[in-house]
Amino acid sequence: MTLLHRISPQGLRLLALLAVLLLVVVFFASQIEGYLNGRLFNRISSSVAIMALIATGQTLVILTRNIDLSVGSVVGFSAFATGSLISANPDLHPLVLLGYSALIGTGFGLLNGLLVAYARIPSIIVTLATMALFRSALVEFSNAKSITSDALPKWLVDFPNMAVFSLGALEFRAGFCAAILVVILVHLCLTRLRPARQLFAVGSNPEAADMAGIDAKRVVLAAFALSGLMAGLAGFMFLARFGNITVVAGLGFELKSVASAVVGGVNIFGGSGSVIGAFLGAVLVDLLETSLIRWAVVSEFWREAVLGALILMAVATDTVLSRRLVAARVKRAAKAAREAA
Amino acid sequence: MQPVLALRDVSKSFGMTAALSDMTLELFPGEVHAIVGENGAGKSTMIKIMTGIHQPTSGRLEVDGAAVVLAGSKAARLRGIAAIYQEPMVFPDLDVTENIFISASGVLMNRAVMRRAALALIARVGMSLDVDRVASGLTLAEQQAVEIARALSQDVRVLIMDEPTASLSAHEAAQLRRIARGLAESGVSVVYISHRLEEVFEVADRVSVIRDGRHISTKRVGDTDPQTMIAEMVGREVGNYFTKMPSTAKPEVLLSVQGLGVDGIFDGISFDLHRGEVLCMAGLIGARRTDVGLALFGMLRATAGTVTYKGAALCVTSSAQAIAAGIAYVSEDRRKLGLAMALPIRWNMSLATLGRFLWRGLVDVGAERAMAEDYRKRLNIRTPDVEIPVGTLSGGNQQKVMLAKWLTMQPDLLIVDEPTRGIDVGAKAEVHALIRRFVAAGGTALVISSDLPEVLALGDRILVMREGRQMAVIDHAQADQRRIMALATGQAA
Repeated sequence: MTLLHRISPQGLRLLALLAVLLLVVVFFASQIEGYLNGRLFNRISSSVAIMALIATGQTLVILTRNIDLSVGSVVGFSAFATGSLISANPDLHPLVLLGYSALIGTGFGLLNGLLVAYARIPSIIVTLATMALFRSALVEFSNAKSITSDALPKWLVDFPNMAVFSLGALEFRAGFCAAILVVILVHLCLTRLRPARQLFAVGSNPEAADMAGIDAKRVVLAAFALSGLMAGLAGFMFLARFGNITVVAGLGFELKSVASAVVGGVNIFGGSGSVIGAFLGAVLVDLLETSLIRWAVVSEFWREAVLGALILMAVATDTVLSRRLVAARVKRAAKAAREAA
Repeated sequence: MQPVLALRDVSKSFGMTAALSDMTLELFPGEVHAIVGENGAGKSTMIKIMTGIHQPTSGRLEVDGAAVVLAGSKAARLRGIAAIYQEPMVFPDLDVTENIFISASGVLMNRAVMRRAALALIARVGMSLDVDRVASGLTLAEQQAVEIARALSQDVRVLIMDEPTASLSAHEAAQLRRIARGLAESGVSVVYISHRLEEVFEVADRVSVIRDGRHISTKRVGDTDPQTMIAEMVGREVGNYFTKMPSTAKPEVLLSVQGLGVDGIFDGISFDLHRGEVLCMAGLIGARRTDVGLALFGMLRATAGTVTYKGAALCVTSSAQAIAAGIAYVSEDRRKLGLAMALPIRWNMSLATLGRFLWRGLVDVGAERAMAEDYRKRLNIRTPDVEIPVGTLSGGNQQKVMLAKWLTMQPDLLIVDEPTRGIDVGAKAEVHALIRRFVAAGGTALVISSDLPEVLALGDRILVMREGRQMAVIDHAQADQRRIMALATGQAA
């Protein structure tokens, strides 16, 4: 009991998520023969490496009471544009290439942010529109051609699968390690930097933020720009991992990133949540997706439904929890008032 | 001594209405300066000018004797001017420390340093509070302490407290007054706005009365008394637009309320309402009059008392049941609860009574339009036609549409909450005439109003409430503004 009191609610959330992850692993291990092996870890870690970046950006946006539905298209565009740049100039320095992806993503993010913060159009509308616009831009840009891995330099294709270190059969590959580094870095920034605290403030109580002299517009713009940056970097990872890029690259990533964030305990109404949670959410979503494919009991058609049910459950828990907190607060206030009277 | 902040002939108008006229006020370091005035006297506008949210139309602000322009709340904060409100502005998801230092400068946060500073500030405020707790779990008083600590962290010189004790318990309010005194003793200039006159005399050094956007007087509290202050607050000549019409009350009691109460909100409300009568509920904001109306309308569950309506016990638990029983409730908040602004006038008017215009399950648009046209003429609603969105009308005409919406159901009991808030004098007179015609035709009205001339013009009898309690029910013949104000502020003998 005392231990439960000492850990912050945020920490409890993460612990609960870890417990759910463990339960899922144990459950599928009992169902699927030869489930627990290094390949499972490698497969999930490779795909989480990409989603973790997107979900991190999405979390920043959701914290400000907004949503970014354009990330999937940004990933696709960034992957394709980066791919065509390196195909044309194979000798380009890796960092220049990475910077190019980041720049593309940030540019798209800034456009979203300007429309949301300064033109005051609801983010769901802006990003629904830019999701389609960016995708069409990609189709136009690509001229209906695809990028193939043959056209890419060897270092790029090899980079995500390069093992940084191994724990037994578990390989920690460069892509995954880079993603974890980014998540930790963003987490540290969120908890230690003052401008980051304004992100929470704006999402928590916009009116009060205004009264406290916080420039909410700039904060929202920054959140979208960062979300774009993360999507741009994810595009780079996507290119490196798959090599073959078509115009449908990154399709559906926007919803998966939102799912990862809310499953990870980020409040969809803004103000609270952590990128570590979003990361664990991404792992859980991917773990379920991968495992359901191998679980013969659930047919292909039910897979999406199970995934959907999980997301609903996560959001419902969130809502109930916040309601309880509010109720407890009112009760405590009333009690204090009675005692005083 | 030089005033730390001064308003010099400050005027502010919104469109045609003047909210402040030639307001002059000087605030000195180390004093608690109370400001009192009726609802709508211009107190909020004054605060907004002092905190940089509004810019004066004319006149100037001086800080330390030098004229300044406060462009935005941040500029005001940089000059050491901060305000806290009845509803604290905290961030529910952040903890106490983070809340205090939310507008601090610098990029890197050193948690340990911030925490120590937060502890010191909270101690200076005179509260014991866990600085690691998340703000959503704090009581209102604690949240206000956090806000004060935030202001102190920015070297506040003028702290404006806008009705800080209005939603606090007696104990918490006393604590907050101590904090205000302590701040003044440490050299801060505290502006204390309150409706509770006894509180003003307890906490303030000087008190300024404002009325109709004008400065009436500034005195040391020792040189004035509650009766003088009330006289100054209501002192204007009552406009002669509002002459009281003779009562049309009949002997039959339509509604009898005995000891009505809702736990923790109001209690002990008792009155009889006769058919054809207008009963006005007077009081200040926060007197819980609206909640009484909501309880009668079934929107709030009563926990004590009995209500007899048309000779039988009234038992309504939803607005639908109340409407079925012939009770209508016209909300004080046109925007939030009253009208669907984007929808046509006709749709708004038939919203509560759409069932009447059904023909084989379909809306009979012809009958609906005829009704809307009828009410447009009867209530003199100035609009080219009834198909345009109600949001395009002026406030007074919107109010008439809202009344029409409820009058179409031909209620026996009409509860009207602040029927003329924010509308001009001409429209006010028309709304009054409308309510009078309604009762003359056999209806009964319960009018909740903070506007004293209106209460006196409409009410056959006047029920005065204060902080959830019924202070008195007075006949119109015995009522005057001073007496009502004295009851509403708790200063009656």
